[in-house]
Amino acid sequence: MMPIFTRMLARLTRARGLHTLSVVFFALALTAFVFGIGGNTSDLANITPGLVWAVLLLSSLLGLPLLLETDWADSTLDDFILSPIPLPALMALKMLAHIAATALPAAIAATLCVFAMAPDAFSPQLGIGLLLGGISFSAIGMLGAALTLGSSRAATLQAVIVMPLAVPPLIFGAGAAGAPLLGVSPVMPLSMLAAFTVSAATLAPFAAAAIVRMKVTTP
Amino acid sequence: MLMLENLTIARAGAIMALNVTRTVKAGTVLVLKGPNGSGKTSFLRGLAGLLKPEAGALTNAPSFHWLSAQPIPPSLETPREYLAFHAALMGGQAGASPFGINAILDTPFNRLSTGQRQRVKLSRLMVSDRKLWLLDEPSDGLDAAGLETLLTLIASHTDNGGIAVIATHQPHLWPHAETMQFGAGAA
Repeated sequence: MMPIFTRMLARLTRARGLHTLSVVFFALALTAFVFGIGGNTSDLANITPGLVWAVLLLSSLLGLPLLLETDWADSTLDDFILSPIPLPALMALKMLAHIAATALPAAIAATLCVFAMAPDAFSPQLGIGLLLGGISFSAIGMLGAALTLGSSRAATLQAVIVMPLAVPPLIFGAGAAGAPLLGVSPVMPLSMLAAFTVSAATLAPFAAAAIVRMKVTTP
Repeated sequence: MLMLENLTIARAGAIMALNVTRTVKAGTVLVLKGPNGSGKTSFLRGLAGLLKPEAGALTNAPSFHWLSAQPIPPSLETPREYLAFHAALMGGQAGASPFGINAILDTPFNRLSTGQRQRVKLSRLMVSDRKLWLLDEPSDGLDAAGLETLLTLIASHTDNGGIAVIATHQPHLWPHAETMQFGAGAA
């Protein structure tokens, strides 16, 4: 399994620098917001948790056009379908590679940004929440990438497909991140986010496998 | 042995092969020939199970290798990584290649020529022992020596009871093979 995962990850990172892109995009987008909003630190501290969550979602869209399209173009998807390894397992590896290339670096960058911009909102739960959010965005993104395979407007369609599905984790995640500022417990929204992430990450590889098989084998 | 019974393959609504009934015996090279767009690749994909037949069935199909005509993209990946990936995917082992690629195993694909990348792709035939080889334009980009290696490899495969089904624009390379004509002139 290792050479398979390594290649999937290399296709996103070494070839396209997706991990660096995620962090750089994160820093730039957040900086742009800060300049736009102005220097009132109390305003900034209040909206930072919501802001990092929104930017986390946007940064997860960056890698989607690459996720399956390169494998489609050089017929690696044929080899996935013909492999004795079940297709959902390969799609799960693909999702893990996307998480390692985008969700993980973006969640770390987001946690550091909150620490710098709104120390009051910083907590260990925040980092966990951002990572769970990144995982669920990758799982949903996997579906978007599979559904738009072969389309000439894949990137636009992916954004349109992913955005509505990403609203529940966004709401629970931002809620959990902002909870310390309101003096309430983040446990409830964090549990809901964890439940969403587990179901999305478990089911998405099966759904993506079914879509990929249909797209590749339909005449 | 590979048996095709009334196999009909269509692509985008157009029939590419109609009611093909044929038995391909062990040790056979079957060459698919015909002009561009006549359905050779679709037929091969049908044999590989990558294109659902409109009608008919494929029976007795042994385990197979499928090599599409898509070239390996000129990326930063190395042949060693590429072959390790495909060996893991097919449950085999990346072994020695007859295509003389040892010297370029660690050179990224973006620094290799089309022919060198084709040699690496053909080396996938060595990662596991499969009775049936489905090859789409295997001779693309190869020089005389590479071509010679390919012909020798296919000959020894069929001598050992293997089957090779080859879609090609150079059918003269296999003068003694069984042929199947696509497009104009098809039976």
